[in-house]
Amino acid sequence: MKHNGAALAHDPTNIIIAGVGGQGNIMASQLLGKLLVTKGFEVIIGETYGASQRGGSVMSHLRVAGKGGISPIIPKGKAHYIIALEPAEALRVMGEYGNPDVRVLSNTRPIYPVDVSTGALDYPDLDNLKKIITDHAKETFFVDATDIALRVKTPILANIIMLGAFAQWGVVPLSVDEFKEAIRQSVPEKHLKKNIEAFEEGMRALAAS
Amino acid sequence: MSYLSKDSPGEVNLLMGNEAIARGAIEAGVAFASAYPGNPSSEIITVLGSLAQELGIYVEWSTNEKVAVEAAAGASYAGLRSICAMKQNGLNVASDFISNAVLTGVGPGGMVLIVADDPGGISSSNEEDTRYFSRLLEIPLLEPAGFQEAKDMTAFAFKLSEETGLIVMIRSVTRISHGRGNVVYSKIEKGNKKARFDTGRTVLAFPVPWTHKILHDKMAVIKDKFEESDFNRYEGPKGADLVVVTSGAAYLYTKEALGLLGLSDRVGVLKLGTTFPLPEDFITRGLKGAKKVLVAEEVIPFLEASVKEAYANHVKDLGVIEFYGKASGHIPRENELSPDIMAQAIAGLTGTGYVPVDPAYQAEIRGLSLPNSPYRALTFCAGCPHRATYWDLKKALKLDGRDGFIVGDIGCYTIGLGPQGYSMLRTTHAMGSGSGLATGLGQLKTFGLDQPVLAVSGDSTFYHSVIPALINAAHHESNFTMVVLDNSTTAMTGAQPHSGSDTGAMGIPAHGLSIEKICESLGAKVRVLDPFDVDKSVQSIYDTIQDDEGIKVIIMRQECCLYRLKKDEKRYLMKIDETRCLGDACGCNRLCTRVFKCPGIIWDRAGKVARIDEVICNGCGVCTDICPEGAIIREVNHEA
Amino acid sequence: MSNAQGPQRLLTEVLDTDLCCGCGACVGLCPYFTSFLGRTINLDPCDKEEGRCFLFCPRTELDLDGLSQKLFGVPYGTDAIGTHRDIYSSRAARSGKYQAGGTVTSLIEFLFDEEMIDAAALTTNDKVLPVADLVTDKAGVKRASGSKYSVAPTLSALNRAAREGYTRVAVVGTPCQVTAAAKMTTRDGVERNPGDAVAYVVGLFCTWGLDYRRLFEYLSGRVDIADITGFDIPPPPAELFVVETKQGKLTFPLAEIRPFVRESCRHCIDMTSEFADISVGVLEDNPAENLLIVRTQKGEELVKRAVDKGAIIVEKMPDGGLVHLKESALIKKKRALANLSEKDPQAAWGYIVGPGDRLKKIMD
Ligand SMILES: Cc1cc2nc3c(=O)[nH]c(=O)nc-3n(C[C@H](O)[C@H](O)[C@H](O)COP(=O)(O)OP(=O)(O)OC[C@H]3O[C@@H](n4cnc5c(N)ncnc54)[C@H](O)[C@@H]3O)c2cc1C
Ligand code: SF4
Ligand code: SF4
Ligand code: SF4
Ligand code: SF4
Ligand code: SF4
Repeated sequence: MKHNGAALAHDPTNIIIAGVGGQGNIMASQLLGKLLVTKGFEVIIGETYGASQRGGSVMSHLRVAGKGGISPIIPKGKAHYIIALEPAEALRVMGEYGNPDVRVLSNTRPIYPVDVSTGALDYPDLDNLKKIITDHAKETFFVDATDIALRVKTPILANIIMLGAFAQWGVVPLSVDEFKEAIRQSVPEKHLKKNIEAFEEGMRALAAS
Repeated sequence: MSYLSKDSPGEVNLLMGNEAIARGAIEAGVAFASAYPGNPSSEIITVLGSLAQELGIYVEWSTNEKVAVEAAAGASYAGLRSICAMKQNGLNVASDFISNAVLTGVGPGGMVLIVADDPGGISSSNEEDTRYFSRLLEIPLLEPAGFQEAKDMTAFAFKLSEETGLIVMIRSVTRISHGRGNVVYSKIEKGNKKARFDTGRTVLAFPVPWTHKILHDKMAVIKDKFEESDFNRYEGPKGADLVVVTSGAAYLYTKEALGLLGLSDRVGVLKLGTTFPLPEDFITRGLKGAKKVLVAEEVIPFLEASVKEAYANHVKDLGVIEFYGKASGHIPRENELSPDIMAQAIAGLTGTGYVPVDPAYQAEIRGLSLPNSPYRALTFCAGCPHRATYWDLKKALKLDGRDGFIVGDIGCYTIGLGPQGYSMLRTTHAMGSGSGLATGLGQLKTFGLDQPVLAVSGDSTFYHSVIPALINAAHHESNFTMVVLDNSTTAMTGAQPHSGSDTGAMGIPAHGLSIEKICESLGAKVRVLDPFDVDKSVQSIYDTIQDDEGIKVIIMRQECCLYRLKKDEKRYLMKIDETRCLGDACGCNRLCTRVFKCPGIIWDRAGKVARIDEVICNGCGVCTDICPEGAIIREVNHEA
Repeated sequence: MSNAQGPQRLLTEVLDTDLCCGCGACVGLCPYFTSFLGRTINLDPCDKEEGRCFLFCPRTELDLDGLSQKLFGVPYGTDAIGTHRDIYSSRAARSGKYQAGGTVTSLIEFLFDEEMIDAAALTTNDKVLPVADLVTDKAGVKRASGSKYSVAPTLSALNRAAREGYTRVAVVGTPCQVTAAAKMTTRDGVERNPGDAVAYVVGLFCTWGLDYRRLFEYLSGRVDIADITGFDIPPPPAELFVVETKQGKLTFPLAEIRPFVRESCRHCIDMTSEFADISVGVLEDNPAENLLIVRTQKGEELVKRAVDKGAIIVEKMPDGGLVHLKESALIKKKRALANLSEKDPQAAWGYIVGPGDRLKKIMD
C-alpha cells in the first residue's frame, strides 16, 4: 500500500486512546484513523465498548502500519503513544501496555469511579499520579482539557481539545489543516465553530506546556 | 450520500467490521434487512437503516430474532436478497426456524445470516460460540479474518446462497464487528428489487429423509467450492514443521505473534475462512510435512475438533502429527485470544521464548498502576431512570416486609444484581426470562410461597419475549407483578427503536404499540408510574403488591438519559447547599453517595460534604427528593 | 459484642429479636428508619459506629440507676411503681371525650394555654392506625384524646418537632416511649439531640400494646373498620376488649386479643412510666377518673399550677388504694425479667444494665 511520502516513526505505530465511557474517545480514534487511511496507511482500530459504556474504562487501540501484520489488539507493553482523556486511565493503560519508551498525553481532570464517588475508595493523589506517569514515560504532557472545556460549558469537547494537543505534538505524519478538515467532515455544522475553537485551544495548551 | 453507499470501486475506506458487512450487502444489491439489536451486531442494521431510503431497500428492527429471520426468509422467497443479523444469543431464538429452513431451502433471493459472537462476553451474558450451530443445523459457515473479508464474504455469501438455496451464515466476533480497518470497495450490483412469490412452488420439508438427503447433496457441492475458495490459504514456508490452523480474529493475532517472534518464515499458517463444511482436501495439502499443528480459534475448539476429524480421514497421507490447542492446554478454553496469548503459545512450541518488555519496568509499573487506577465498577449512568426504579422497588418491598423479591432478565437493568442497583435483582438469564420464571413462581401459593413475586424487563424485551409469558400468566391466573422499565428505547445496545417506537430503523414513521393496551387486553391491572416521582411510585408499587389476585403490570416510564442528552437537555441544574449538608454525621451518613450511589454526586472526604460533579450529573433531579436535609437544590433548566 | 453503639447493633439486638416496641425514637432522625403500619423498618444500611438511634432506643443498654440518678437524684429503687413525690386521683375540670378522667388532655391543653410549650408529641388515629402527631394547638390535643391500644411511633413526632425548630415540646407516651424520651433528655454531648427540645414528659400506664397489623386483620372480618371511633379495656375482672363504633359498642373476649400483644411487651418491666415527670392511668375503682403519679419537681409544679388555675381537679390517694396497682406493676416486672433472662441466658437481664442486686430482689 502506498502512503503519500510521509513516514511513520514506528511501523506499526501503536496509539492507545483511553478514557471512561461517554468521554468520546471512539469519536477521536475514528477521526484520527480515517485521516491516516486517506494518507495511504493501513489502519486497524480495536475498540472496547458495550456494557463498559456505563461508567467503565474504555480504550481504543489505534494501529497504523506501512506493511500490515497488525491485529485489533496491541500486544502487552507495546504502546508508543497513550492519549488519556482521564489521568488514572493513563496509568491503568501504562500498567498493561507501557514500556520505557512510551509517550503520554493526558487530561488532568479525574472522573471518579463509582466506588470513589460513593466514598468507599479514595481517588489516587493527583500529583503522585502525575509523577508516576512522568517517571515511567519517555515524554509526558498534561493538558487541563476538561477544565478548558468547562469554561465554554461543554465538557464533552475535552476529546477535541486533546486531539488539538495531539496534533500540536506532531508525532503522526498529519498536518494541522488535515486534522481540521477531518473535524469539519465529522462534526455537524452547528457545532463546528465550537469544535474548531476547542481544537485550537488544545494546540495552544500543548504549546504552552 | 454516505461513504458507505458510494459506488466507487477501488476506493479505500476505514470501516467498522459491521459497516464492512453492511457494505458487502450493499455491493451485493441487498433489498431486505432485518434484525433484533444486540452487541456486537447492532450497527449492521443501523447503517443499512440510515441508507434505506437512498438505496430503495427495506430495513427493520424486528420484534425478536425468530421473527427477524422469518421476515428475511419471506423476502428471499419473493426473490429478493435479504440479510438478517443478530448476536450469539439471538441465534438460540432464531434456530427453530432455521432448522426447518435448511430442509425447505430458501431463495430464489439469496439469504445471509450474520451472527456476531462475543468472545470474552465483553458486552454479553455469555461467550457462546455459534459455530456449532452450523454443524447442528447444517448451514454453510464463513468466518471473516479481517475487515476486507467481512465485506467480501458477505457479498460472496449471497451468491452461494442463491446457487444452493441455503441460508449462508457468517460468524463475526466483537473484535471484527466493532473494530475498524481498511476496506477496498468493489462495484455495487443493482440487485433484484422486484418481488414476486412463485405460487407454483410449495415450500415444505417433507418427506424429511428425502429433503435431508437433498441438503447433504448441496453440502457436498458447497464443500467442493470451499476446497477452491480464496478465503482459505496457506501462508509461510513450504513444509513447515509447525503449522498454525486458524480462523477469524485468531488469524490476525497469529500473524502478529509471528511478527513479534520473528518466526514468519519458519512457521506455517493455514488460514481457514470456510469452516463448515470443512475443505478437507485443502487442509490435508496444507498440513503435508507438518510435525506439529497448533489450532487457534475463539472460543470453543470447534475447528480443532473438525481438523482432527479430517486428519483421521487422511492419516495415511499425513503420517504422525501432534495436535496442540485447547485440548492440550496451549490455548485457553475461555475468553478471547490476543497477540500475546498466541506469541506465548508459539514461543512455547518452538522453544524460542517471548519477553515483550523489560521485566523490571513491567513489574514496577504494574505494581504502581494497580493501586493508583481504581477499579471502575459498572454502574447506571448518572440520572438513569433504572436507578430510581430500583430505589422505589426497594423501598416498597421493605415497607411490605414479606421478603418479596424480583426476578429479571438481561439489559441495562441487569446492573440491579449488584450494589449499584441495591442488589434488588435475584436472577438473570435470557431475554424475558424474568417474566417466565414469575409465571411459575406466581403459582406456588398452595405450596406456601407467601412472598410477593415481581419480575422486571425492559420495554424492548417486553415485545421481544415477555408477551407470551404474560399470556401464559393471564390464562393460568398466575399471581405476580410485572414491572416494565420503559425508557422508550433499546438502551443497552445503543438506543435503537423498538416495536413501541414511533419511528423505525429507516427513520420513517412506524406504528408504536402501547404496552399498557397490550397488557390491559390480557386482563392485567396496569399502572404507569414515573420512577423519578419517588413517593408516588413507592406507594403505588406497595399498593400493587398488596393485591394478590392475578397479574399486575407496572410500567415505570421515563426516558433513558443517554437518549435525552442526545437532545442536549439537562432537566435541572443541580447544586448542593453545603451549610445544610450533614455529610457523614448521624442524621444522614451520606445517603446520596454511599447508598443512592448516583455518580453525579461525589463525596468530598476532605470537605466532609457531598458535591455535584457537573461533568457527570445529567440533571434528572431525583437526588433532591432523596436528601433528608433539603441540601440538594435543583433549578429547572429544561421543561420536561 | 462489639463496642459499637450504632444501627448495626440496633438491627441485630432489637429489630431482629423482636424486642422493638415501635416507640419511634429511631424514626425521623435520619433516612434509615421508618415506621409503617406499626412496624419499625430499616430501609438501608448505615455503618455508623455510634448513632442516636442506638443511644435513644429504649431496648438498648438501659441503665436504670443512671437514668434515675439524673432524673430524681436517687438510685433505681424497688418500689414497683417507681420513684414518686405524690399520688392523686384526678380528672379534667371540664367534661369532654377522654379515655378516662381526661387528665392528660387537660394538662396538655393547659400547657398550650399558658404558653409553656410550643408543641406536643401525641398520638392520633388515622382511621384505626395510631400515628405520631406533632400538635401545635388545642384542636390537635382534642384530636389525640383517647387510647389507641396498638403501639405508635409517637417519638418520631418529637424528632420532627426538634428538626423543625420547636424548643418546648411536651411528650405523651407509654412507658417504653417515656424511657426513650428519658434517654434523650439525660444524654449529654450528642449533637442534634431531640431531648434538648423536651419540656415535659407525661407518661401513661401500660400493661401491653398490640401489633397493629394483627389487630387490624382480626377486626377486618368482624367490624366495619371505617365505623370505629375508639377502644377501651375496662378494668379487671371484665376481661373484655371494647370497640366503640358509630353503631354502638362491640365487645370481644380479651383472650382473643391477647395473642396480638407484641413480643416486646413481654420484656417490658415498666407499667407506670417510671421515668416521666408525671404518670397517668385509669383509676381502678372509677374508670371515669385517673390515677396521677407525680415524680419530678417539674411535674409537681405543673400539677400545682394546673390545679390552681382550675384545669384539673385532684384528690390525694389514700395509702390503701395502691395495693392492687403495685401488685400488677410487680407482676409485670417479674414476668419481664424472667422472660429476659430466658430469651438470652448470656446476658442476665437482656438490655437492662443493672442494678443486679435490686433486680434480683424484685424477682424474689
Ligand atoms: C397501649 C396503652 C395501654 C394502656 N394500658 C393501661 C393499663 O393497663 N392501665 C391503666 O391504668 N392505663 C392504661 N393506659 C392508659 C389509659 O388508657 C389512659 O391513656 C390514661 O389513663 C390517660 O387517660 P386520659 O383520660 O387522661 O386520656 P386522654 O385525655 O384521652 O388522653 C390520652 C392520651 O394518650 C395518648 N395516647 C393514646 N394512645 C397512645 C398510644 N398508643 N401510644 C402513646 N400515646 C397514646 C394520646 O396522645 C392522648 O394524649 C394505656 C394506654 C395505652 C395507650
Ligand atoms: S440530578 Fe442528582 S441524581 Fe440526577 S444525575 Fe444529577 S446527581 Fe444524579
Ligand atoms: S443526602 Fe443531603 S445531607 Fe446527606 S450527604 Fe447528601 S447532600 Fe448531604
Ligand atoms: S440515627 Fe444516625 S447512626 Fe442511626 S441510622 Fe440514622 S444516621 Fe445512622
Ligand atoms: S424500640 Fe423504638 S427506638 Fe428501638 S428500634 Fe424500636 S422503634 Fe426504634
Ligand atoms: S407494655 Fe411496655 S413495651 Fe409494650 S407498649 Fe406498653 S410500655 Fe411499650
